[in-house]
Amino acid sequence: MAKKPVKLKEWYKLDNAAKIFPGQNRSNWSNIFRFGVELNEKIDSGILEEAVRITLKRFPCFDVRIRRGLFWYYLEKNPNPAPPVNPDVNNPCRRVKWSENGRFLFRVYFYENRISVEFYHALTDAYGAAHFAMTLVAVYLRLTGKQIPDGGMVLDINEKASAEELEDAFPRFVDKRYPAKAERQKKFVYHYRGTRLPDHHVNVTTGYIPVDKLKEKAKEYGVTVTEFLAAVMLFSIYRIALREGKTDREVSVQVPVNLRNMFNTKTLRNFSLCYSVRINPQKGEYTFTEVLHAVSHYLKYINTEKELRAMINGNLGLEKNLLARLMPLWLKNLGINIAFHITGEQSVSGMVSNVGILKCPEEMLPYVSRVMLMAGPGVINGSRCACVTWGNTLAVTLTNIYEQTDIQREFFTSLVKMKIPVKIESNRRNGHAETEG
Amino acid sequence: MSYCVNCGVELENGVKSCPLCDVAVINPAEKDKIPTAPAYPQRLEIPKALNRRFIAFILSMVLIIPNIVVALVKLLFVESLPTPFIYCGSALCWVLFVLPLLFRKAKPFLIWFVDTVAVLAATWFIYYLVPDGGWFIPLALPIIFSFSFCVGLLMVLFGFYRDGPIRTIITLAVMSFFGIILDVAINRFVGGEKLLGVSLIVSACFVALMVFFTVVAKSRRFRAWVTRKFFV
Repeated sequence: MAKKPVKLKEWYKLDNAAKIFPGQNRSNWSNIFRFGVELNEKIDSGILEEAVRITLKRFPCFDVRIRRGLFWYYLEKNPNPAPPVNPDVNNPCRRVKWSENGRFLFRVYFYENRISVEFYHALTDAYGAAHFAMTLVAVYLRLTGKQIPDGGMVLDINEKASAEELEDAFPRFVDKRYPAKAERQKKFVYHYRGTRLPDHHVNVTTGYIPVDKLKEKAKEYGVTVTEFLAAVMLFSIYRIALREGKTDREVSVQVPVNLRNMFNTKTLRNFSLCYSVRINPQKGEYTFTEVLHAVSHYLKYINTEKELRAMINGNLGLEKNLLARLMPLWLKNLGINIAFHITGEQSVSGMVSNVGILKCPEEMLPYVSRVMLMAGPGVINGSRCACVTWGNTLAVTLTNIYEQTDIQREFFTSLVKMKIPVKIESNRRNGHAETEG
Repeated sequence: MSYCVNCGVELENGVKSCPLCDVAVINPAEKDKIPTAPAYPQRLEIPKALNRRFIAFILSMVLIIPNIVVALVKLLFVESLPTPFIYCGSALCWVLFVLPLLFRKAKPFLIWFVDTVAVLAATWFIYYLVPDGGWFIPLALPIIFSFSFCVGLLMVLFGFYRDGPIRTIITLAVMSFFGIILDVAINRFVGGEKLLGVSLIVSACFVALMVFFTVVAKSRRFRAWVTRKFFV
């Protein structure tokens, strides 16, 4: 009798960016972000569950659970069919526990007309998450009887995932002829600190802005939308630092960049890097235009293949180091945990992440009213901002762990003063963040 | 639709105050409109906290095992094994490290008091077993009481002062005080010629550091220079 072929378990190494995230995980914090898609009709949870099951087959790199090896964490095929679909909560992006949620590293929620998916950053970045979220929405709409073709970020669910979609792209773009490594920013910078909310609580404010007005304003200054928003965030934090009289430290904003724009890959896993732009209040009092020029010039300078490759080399250096590789996982975790505890977000005052326009089939436009991207709250950072554009609406979501809304107010009122209309939504009710009890 | 008169932003239907500045929203035109559902539900999902009592149970079992082993070894093989010291040490470890896990809420002053009593009791028990030299009252008591006083003082003062340099000054002052008490107690016990010796040198160094941090705390310019020069 012929032997049955041995079916090996599908598994993946964590990509280079993801390797530090499990070590940073705490009982009250995880590196997690959320995609929310608002439709024009109320969500049916039964159909959504079916849509998740169908979509997951197309994304094997999301159909995983995290496991501990002797030296590294790794991802393994999850034996459960799909994560549960739950009613939404007032405190999104709370910490991830790997044993919960059917051991999946992404969570699916529904509320009124909105489908939200939260992703643990070890799985993917905003680009990969956008593909999953929009494909899920397309499948959901098809199950409700709409004709939605594939295209753009909506992938063909009948197609098998390619090797390129599943690869860790970082090592592929290392060029041994050019081994230069970029230096990491280590200097501690100014942080806005308010009254901390209790654990697992978060303050979320989303501003919906007409993109044409924003583009018009950015064009007036001769910059891109990302540069403009990063400058507004940096200037907002700077003004608060001035008001508090804390001018002894620099103010900086971190801007993640999608490396796929520079290096050709279709990977759906992490493939982005962050650079930070800083200004030094000790040099004098800055105007908005000066801050904008600093941001724009720095981002243009750093966003080149040479500089990005040097940053990739820097990140890969630790992973390739023989001593680091041979260190047992528990020791690596201890090192990462201590390093994150001491330095963590200390070199960054805030963050602005702009995914850009979501390219999807036009047939989806009548059924999807809005999309929002939310970066999870930081450990100390009071201003993490994520932006995404759907149609003519740019959604800017600010998340923080403090009761006070100084940064959000400064950011959005700056836009209003520049005659850019903003519509605000928040999880705060009657002026206070929701708390348990 | 409503707008915030302070921030100028457009607001969700039915919102009673602006989420950015808490200014009340009064829009007579919205009175008769049916409010739309808020952007987020009210339900919070709070993950279960770590079961500290279960951890306390596991640690207690871990502490019991060496005591059982030692008791059996003494019974079966080595009669002269100094088991009381091991029992005393285990009990002290239990009070210092496991007992705080049994409290639902942190009670620092209660734990401080209980720890002081536990250390006193353990030290007295060791003195009961080894009374040679009469060291308990002249040596152990002053050291334990002064250490406990210093810890309590730090807890109280840290609650009032949150500034880094101020806390550093307080810590140095308290350490200096404790060093002096320790020096006096030891020198008195051993019958030394001088009551104060090494502690004076250490205290002098601490005073110099306290002066440095006082200048750092008071002078913004100097503080900024120190921050720039010595950042991590």
